[in-house]
Amino acid sequence: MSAEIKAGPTEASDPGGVPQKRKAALRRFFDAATISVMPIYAFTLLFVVGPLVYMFILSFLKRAETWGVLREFTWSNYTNILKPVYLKTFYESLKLAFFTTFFVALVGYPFGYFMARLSATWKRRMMLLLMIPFWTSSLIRLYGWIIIFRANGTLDKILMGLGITQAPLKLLYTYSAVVVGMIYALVPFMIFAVYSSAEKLDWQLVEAARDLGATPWQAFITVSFRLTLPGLLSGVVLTFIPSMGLFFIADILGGNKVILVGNLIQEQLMKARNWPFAAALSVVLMILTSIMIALYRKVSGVKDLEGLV
Amino acid sequence: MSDIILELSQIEKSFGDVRVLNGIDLSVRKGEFITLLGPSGCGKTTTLRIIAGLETPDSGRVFLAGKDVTDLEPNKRNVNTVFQNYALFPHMNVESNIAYSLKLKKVDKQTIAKTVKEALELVQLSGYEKRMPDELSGGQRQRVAIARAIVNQPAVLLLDEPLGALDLQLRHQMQIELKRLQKRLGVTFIYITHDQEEALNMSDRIAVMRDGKFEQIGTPAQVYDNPRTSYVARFVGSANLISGTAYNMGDGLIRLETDYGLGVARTRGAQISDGQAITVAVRRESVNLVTQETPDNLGLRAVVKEKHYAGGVLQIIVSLSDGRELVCSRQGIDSPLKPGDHVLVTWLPDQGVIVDLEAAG
Repeated sequence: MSAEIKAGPTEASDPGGVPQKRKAALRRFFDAATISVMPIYAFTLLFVVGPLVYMFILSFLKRAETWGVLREFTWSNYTNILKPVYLKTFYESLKLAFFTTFFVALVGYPFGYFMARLSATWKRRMMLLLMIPFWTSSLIRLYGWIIIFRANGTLDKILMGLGITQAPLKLLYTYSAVVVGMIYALVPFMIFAVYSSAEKLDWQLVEAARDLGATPWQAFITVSFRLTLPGLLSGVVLTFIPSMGLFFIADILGGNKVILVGNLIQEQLMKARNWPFAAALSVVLMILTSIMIALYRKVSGVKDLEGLV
Repeated sequence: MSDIILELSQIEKSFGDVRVLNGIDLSVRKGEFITLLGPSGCGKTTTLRIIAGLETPDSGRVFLAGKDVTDLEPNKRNVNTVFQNYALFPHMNVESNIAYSLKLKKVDKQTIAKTVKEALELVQLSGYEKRMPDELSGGQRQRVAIARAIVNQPAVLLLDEPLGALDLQLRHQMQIELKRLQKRLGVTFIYITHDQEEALNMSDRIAVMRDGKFEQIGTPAQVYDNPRTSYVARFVGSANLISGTAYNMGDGLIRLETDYGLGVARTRGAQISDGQAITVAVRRESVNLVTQETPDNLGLRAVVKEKHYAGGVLQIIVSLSDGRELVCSRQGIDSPLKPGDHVLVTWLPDQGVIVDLEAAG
């Protein structure tokens, strides 16, 4: 529409050329800005939209006896999910995700909030400290937790050395180990999300609240917390969604005892070679996470996830 | 004195190595409109924050209605602030912003609704209850901030450059409104500004601040007509400062001998000895430029340098023999003088004020 409006005045000055509308459209198509973003569109189409469509189609096909899939339509992959054993996996995953998110918020919110109150130099230092672990592969960092958690490992040695416990805790390959691993992996995202929102908080508003008679706690609840809530909510989304799919944490720290949707998908894809079922599970997981994001948008009224950019 | 509502006693404050307040004393009467006037960085905002309780002084005491409140939390002081950038809660509408302090006090709903309505009427914003702060203009936000601060009926209302962000026209209008509001409410106002005109227009008393100290405290007329120091003379009246040697002429008059000629001033009771080096402040509008010789050889020899109009006022800048400049201003009439003309700068004895006497002594 804007192109038509733009073309209006030039039409009068340049009569009898190529139809102006087409010329404008062509110009728009070939202008530098459009061309420069083309690779991004191509990339997205090829590597994001393409696989998603492929996965969606796959989830309605039948599994072949030996290798790959049969080109026959079926609902059975979805009805399969309704079996109690798989429903339980979804339930367990959601439970773990809630747990993880709760603890991540408990640790990450105050951390991010107070980090935003530091001086510029200390902010930079804290940011660096938070970034350093990301320079190492997350898998290797998880193996670090094995050393800490295993029987007579670092944690046991410290606790027994201090006389707090008498025997090894045998934390490795338990639910607790998985929760700790999840919190460890996801807490930075919460911190960044809360931090970016707390950084924008005008401290004068808190002073105004105190001036108008609020105690420090009342000022925090009615002003600071309320205004950093979008950050917390986006942190919740950024934690909850990955915690549904971080199968390798449950794998490495939980042994085979904790099976999550992520593990199930991986198992169906790699071991059972049931691609259509793995695809159906992925589609359901995606729908669940989309609902989460939709809920978040509704609650916070914010369109972009803070801390993501 | 029982009508003193606020008293500051020997307040000192430093931030790191920077000494912001240097032992200030101030007594404010109930219902008074007092302005702290000074350039940015002189410590006026820090003074206000100490009164509000948002900052703790390193030493000195703050008394509110006779009670020592120095160590009291801001929420326990019967003082409210109108912040420089209004600090309206962006997530609350106008009504909730104004009702904030009342809700904290658990005032019942009917009383809150009534008080909010009255406050909005007072600041002429009736009907704006449901608007969000970002849907208001600068002037409207200003009014909401004032309404929010007065519903609590504070003993003292602190205003930190409340008109600084408004355009000139609105600022003039709000000056009048604020003054009227203050008279109507009878609330003590402590008002911060760096705008001398604003201070002169609105205040009962002005406290001129410089480098963490009060340079002079007095009524607008006292501060304007009788500046005690060259700093006050320059900051409040944009006065010309002329230095020279004093000789008593009797009748409370002194003769000022300078390198450029003779001037006069009144001693106003000050003891000036013959030969003492003094500075005399003469306001721009008190300066006369004459082309003929004067009786008694009075006047400083100068050359007209430039003329320009500034908002209906003609300013003539003349330069003395050593290049120093003096400014003479006249209400909107042109002058036959042109650049290059030789003139004598004169003023009436009453309009020459001797400044910096204490600083010299």
